Amino acid sequence: MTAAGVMTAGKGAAPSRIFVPVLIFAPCLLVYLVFFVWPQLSLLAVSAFDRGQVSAAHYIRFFSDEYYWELLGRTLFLGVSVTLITLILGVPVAYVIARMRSRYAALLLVLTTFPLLVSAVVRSFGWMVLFFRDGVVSNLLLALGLIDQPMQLMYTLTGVIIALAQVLLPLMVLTLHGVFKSIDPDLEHAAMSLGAPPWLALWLVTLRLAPGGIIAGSLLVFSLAISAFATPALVGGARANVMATTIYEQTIELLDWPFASALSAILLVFVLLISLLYAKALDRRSAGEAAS
Amino acid sequence: MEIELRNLAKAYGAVQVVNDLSFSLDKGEMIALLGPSGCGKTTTLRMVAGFIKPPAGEILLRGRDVTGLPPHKRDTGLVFQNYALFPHMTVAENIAFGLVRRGVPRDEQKVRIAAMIDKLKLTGLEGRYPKQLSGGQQQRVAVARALVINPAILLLDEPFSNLDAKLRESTGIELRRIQRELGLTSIFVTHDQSEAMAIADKIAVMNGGIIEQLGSATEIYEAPATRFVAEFIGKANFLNGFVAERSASGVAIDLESDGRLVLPAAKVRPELRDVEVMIRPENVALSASPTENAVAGVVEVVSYQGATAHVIMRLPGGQSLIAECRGRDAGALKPGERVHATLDPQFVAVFGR
Amino acid sequence: MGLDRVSRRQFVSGLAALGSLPLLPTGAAAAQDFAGRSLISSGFGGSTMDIIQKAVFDPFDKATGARSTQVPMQSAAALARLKSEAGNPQIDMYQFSGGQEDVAKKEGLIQPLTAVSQLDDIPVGLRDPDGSWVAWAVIAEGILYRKDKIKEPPRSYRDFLKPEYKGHIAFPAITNGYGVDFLVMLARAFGGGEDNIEPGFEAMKKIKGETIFKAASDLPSLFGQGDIWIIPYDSGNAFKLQTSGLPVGFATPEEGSPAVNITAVVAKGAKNADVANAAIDYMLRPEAQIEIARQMRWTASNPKTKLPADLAAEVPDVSQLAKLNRALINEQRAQWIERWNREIAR
Repeated sequence: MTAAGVMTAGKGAAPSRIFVPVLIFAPCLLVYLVFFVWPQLSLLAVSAFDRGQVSAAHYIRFFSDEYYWELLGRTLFLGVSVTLITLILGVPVAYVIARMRSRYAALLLVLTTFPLLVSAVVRSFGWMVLFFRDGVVSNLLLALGLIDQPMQLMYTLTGVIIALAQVLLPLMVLTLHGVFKSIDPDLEHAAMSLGAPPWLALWLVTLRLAPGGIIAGSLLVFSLAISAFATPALVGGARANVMATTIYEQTIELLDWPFASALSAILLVFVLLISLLYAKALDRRSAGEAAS
Repeated sequence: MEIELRNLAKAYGAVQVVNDLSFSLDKGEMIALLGPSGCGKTTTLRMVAGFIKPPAGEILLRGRDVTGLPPHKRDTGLVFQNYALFPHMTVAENIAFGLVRRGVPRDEQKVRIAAMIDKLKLTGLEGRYPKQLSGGQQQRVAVARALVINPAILLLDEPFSNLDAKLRESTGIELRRIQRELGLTSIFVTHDQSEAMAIADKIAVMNGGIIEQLGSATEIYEAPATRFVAEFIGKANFLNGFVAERSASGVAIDLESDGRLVLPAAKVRPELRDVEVMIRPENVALSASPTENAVAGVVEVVSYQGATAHVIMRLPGGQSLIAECRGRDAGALKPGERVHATLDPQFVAVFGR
Repeated sequence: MGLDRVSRRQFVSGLAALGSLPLLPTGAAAAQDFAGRSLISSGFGGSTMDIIQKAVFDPFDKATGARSTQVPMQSAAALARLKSEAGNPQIDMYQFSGGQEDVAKKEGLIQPLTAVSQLDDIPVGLRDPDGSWVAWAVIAEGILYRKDKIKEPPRSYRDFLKPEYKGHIAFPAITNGYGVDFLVMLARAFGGGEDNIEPGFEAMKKIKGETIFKAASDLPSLFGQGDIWIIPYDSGNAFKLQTSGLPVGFATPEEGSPAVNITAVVAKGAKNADVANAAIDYMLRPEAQIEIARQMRWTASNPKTKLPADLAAEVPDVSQLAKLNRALINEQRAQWIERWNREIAR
């Protein structure tokens, strides 16, 4: 994108006009190339070798084994669930804060970001207190009569989903808040005065105008959820294995670096693929607006 | 009575935005809520629309108490200052929105939308998105969207303020024509007095959350009830004076700037002592020699405007007085010249001080 | 201890007076003055690392003038770090608790201990025959149980299959060193062993629905909020839990307490290899090992260490511990992890 911009600017322009954007982008580009692109490529390269020979062995191992398909499926399920939960919980919170005229709105927004300030490790110990069989959640549900057997969320995928949703909710709220804030509240008022109940006005107007924010928030949460390591490792334990914890296991415990890089590459490809499809799907809904 | 507001009130914190406000409209009447920003006119409109719940007072729409009803159950048509057109919908979809919500059959929708498009001269723009329209076109779509649902009352929130001056006038007249034609009861919020006077049947001049005066355009202009109204509407001169004599035939007021006015007794409330005398520039007549009900002063500035001219005089005691005269007479007046200004008692208003 | 140090001091000053001494073994002499030098070691993190710092590295620094720092990382992560920095190690010395020294030696990541004077005092099995690594402490594994829930102390690894404990059992994942040992000990309890792991998997499958955890840091919560009564772990952590007030007991199973070697190695190409050698020598000193036993209930590896009677009653002697065939285990570990992930964790 940068290169293209520089090239078009270069057509028939004085050399200095090309020079300036190049100069401006150069440091960022350099950092990006050295610290992101190069390590990624070398990582990919590792996965393409088996005992000194170029080979697809590590990829074949992954795709021919039901276990790894399940692992990938579980990881994507985790990402989708967390995204949906944060979206469902985040929309009302972001909306209410965006529409608040009180001076406490800013304070509330800061409060929602507090979970981000706590390290994943500390937070996970908090979840332990809640999630164990003799923990707060189980005892509360028992006392309310909602369950008749003690229940354990610790070391389960459900626990990981809940914990990650809590961790990532602030990012969703922050992203959506910015978008809602930029949508004129009179649009909802107009819809309401034309006969739409508030929830319908929100659905037909505000949410239809926020696909950019919803895409951004969802992709942010999704990609962080499926690449999260600390929370799945600490809350999920041994049973809720996901791609990230398996990559760690292959790298650290089993020292099988080529396979670990193959796992990383596969995860990366799926993230990109899903992000692309998702963005496209949402974009089409708002294509009408874009047409103008 | 089509709509009645009874003792509405609303405060934000310690600020009383609307205070004990009441008025009513008959079918087909249009009222303008006129006042400076912060006077409570928009809050009043939004209470009628249902976006703000009044902590005190009642709103009756066609005899039904709607005070507690949410906006979507009120049957109001609202035109917003910035039009609030749905950017992701076409003109036709925008207009159809209210009909769909009301479950109007598809065939009838088509007929009514077509009628509105025709009435508001939007033919050919049905498939466009709001961003592709000019300001005037957007405004007409907003009106069409509000009218197509046949609301019990039409609410207009500064509907012309985003249009340029020329378009504003013609659009106002056009809107008035449609409103009359459909017999729509309307409330219209504006800070522009000429807009209010040109369009509305009744004007409520608002200030600090209360209605200072409610009346026709003539009443408000000719006989302002308060100093605020006099100052807010049109141009006005204020001269300090005190009541010197009261008799059956009239009240004599001595002005600080040397001069005595004798006014009909009805013009000066009995409790008044120190007063301010208001007169509009066009009711001040200039002459070279002293007359009754006149003050003398020195011409300071003559501002020629074609049809008319404004003459600013300095009076003894330091107050100034603006007189309006015909443009062709202005040439005779030179700054520094001493003139006499006659105040027509019929057009004088007196306020306490 | 005092005597020892005085004699060394005198020895050092004597050397200084004599000037250079080509006859003496290198290192042993030079090791005694490291003023201005620094040593970086991997550490186990948390309170364990702090205790080791105070019991071993701080006195070592005081005696030699070196400045030692431990960088916290789990053994497996430490090995990965050592591997990734092969040839140019940023960390001079590594401590392992999961048999990683074997892999490190095989992959040529460490160098022989050339200047650890007490190395020969350590029994074979607790040191590498080629001198690549030495165990400076040993941890006794066994069964941790809630004394208030289980009246009769568990006696065997077979007890994990007792129906009355159902729903109250937890065991470490196989990626945790104790998890592998638990698998091996289950195999041994049911007629198998390192060379026949099948009975271990068979037994573990019967309790696969129980709580599986990954790190020792979960132990307090497991015994606290987790409603867990019985966990295979070690005496050191049992002691820690007791100290924190939990009613946890430690039982030595009849199959034996597997010994976990706490080893120290020097990275190949380490810049401060001489300091590391001296520090490891310091770890083998009886006074350091007594301190470690007192504070963590770890077993001393140096037979010359004579624990005071009160401690001796609580800390098993190294001769009482069961030896696992670490080499055989390490060979099969990757395969077992794959299998475990599919059959137990799924």
